[in-house]
Amino acid sequence: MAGLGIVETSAIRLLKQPFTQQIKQIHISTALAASDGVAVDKTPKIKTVQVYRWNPETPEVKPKMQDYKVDLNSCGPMVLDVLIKIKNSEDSTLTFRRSCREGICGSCAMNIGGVNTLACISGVNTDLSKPLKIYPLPHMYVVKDLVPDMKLFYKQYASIEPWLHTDVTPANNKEHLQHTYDREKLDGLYECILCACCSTSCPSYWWNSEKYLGPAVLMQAYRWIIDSRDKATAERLDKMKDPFSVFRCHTIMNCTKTCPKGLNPGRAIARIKSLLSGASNKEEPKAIKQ
Amino acid sequence: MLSLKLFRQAKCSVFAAQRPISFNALSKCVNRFNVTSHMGNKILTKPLLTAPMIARFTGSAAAVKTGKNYASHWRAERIISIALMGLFPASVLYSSQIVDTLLAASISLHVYWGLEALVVDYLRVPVVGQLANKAGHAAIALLAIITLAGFLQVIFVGDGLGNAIVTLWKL
Repeated sequence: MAGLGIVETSAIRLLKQPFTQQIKQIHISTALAASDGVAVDKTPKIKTVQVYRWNPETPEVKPKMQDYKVDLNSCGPMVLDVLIKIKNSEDSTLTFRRSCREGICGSCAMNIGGVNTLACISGVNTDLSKPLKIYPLPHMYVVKDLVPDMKLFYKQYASIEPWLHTDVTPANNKEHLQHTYDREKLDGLYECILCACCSTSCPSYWWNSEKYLGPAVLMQAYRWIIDSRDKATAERLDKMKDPFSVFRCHTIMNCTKTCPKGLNPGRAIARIKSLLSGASNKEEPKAIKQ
Repeated sequence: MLSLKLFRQAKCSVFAAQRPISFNALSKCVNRFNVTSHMGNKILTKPLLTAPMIARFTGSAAAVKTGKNYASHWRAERIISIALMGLFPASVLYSSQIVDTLLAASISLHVYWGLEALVVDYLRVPVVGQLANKAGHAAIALLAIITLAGFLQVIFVGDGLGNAIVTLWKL
C-alpha cells in the first residue's frame, strides 16, 4: 500500500466495500462537492436565538429570555451546534448539558421551539424571520439555564428496580438464555435513553410528578415486567396498582409524540394497565432448543 | 417556588417515615384490600374478569404499598365507557325503564369519574389546599347525585330517557 497515492488507496477502499456503502460514499462525496459550490455564498445568515437564562447565584433576578445572533453559515446544522457556538464565542456563562452529540446519551434534552427533544439531533430551522426559542425541560426545577434537576426522575427510575429479578440459576451457569420470540418483545422498549423528554411533556406528570411515575419510567417498568427472564412480574405489578403510579395516565400521548427516539411509551403504559386489570396476562417464556 | 420545593422535601420525608408503618400494618391492609377487590369482582367485573389475576393481586402481599387497588376501578371505568356505546342506541330503540335506568346510572358514573380525574389533577392539595380539594370532591359527588336524580325523574315521572333523547333530537 505504501507505493500508492491517496487517490488510489481511497479507490481501493471504495471497491472493497459492499454496494450500499459505496453508494453512501458517492453520495457523501457529491454532497461535499455541492457544498463546496454553495460555500462561495458567504452572506451571513443571522438567526436570532432566544435562550432561557436563570442563575442560582443571583436568585433575585427573575428568569429571562436572552437573545443571541448566530450566523448559520459559520455554525453546524443542529441546535446543539448553535448552543456550543454561543458558549464558545459569545457567552461562556451559558449552561447546558451535552455529551455524545449524536442522540444516544440523552443529556441535551430541552424544549426547542415548544417541543421537548434532543438539541443534538434537531436541526435549526433556516427560516431567519423566526427566532429559535430554547427552554429547559418543562415543569422541572431548574438548576441553571437549560439544566433541569433530574433527581426525582432518577429516584423514580430506581424505584422500579430496573434490573433482572430472578432466583433461577441459568442452565449453562453463565447467562439467562431467552427465545428470540421473547427477545423481540423488548424491541421498542430497551432503546430508551432516559432523556426525560416524554415525562416532562406529560401533563399528568406535570401535575402529579411526586406520585405518578411518568412515561419514561413506566416504559422501563414494562420492559422488566414482560422480560421472559424476570421472575418478579407479580411483585412489580403489585407495586403499581395504586391510583397514581400508573393510572394517572390519561392517554394524552404527548409522550409518544415527542419521543426523540421514536418510541411509544403510551403503548407500554396501556399494556401495564391491561396487565394490572387482568385484561391480558404475561406469556410463559418459550422453550429454547439448545 | 421555594415553598413548593420545601413542601416536596417535607412530603418525601413523610413518605419515608410512613413506609415502615405501612409495612407493620400490612396484614390489616391486605385484609381490607381483599374485601374491596372481592366486592369489585362481584359487582362489576364478573363476566369479563378471569379469577387468577385477582388471586395474584390479593395473594402476594410482598409489595403492598398503599393498600389501595385502583386496577378494578380502572376496569370498571372501561366497562362503563364501552357499555355506554351500546346503551345509548339501546335506550332509543328499546325504550324501557330498565335500559333507561342502566343508561342513567352509567352516564352519572362516567361523568363522576371524569370530573374526579379533573379534581385530582387540577385541585391538588399542595396548590389549592386541603379545603378546596375536599370541596371539589364534594361538589362533583353532589353534581353526580343531582344528575342521577334528574335522570331518574325523567325516567319514572316523565316519559323515559330514550324518548327524551328522541325529543331532543327532534328539536
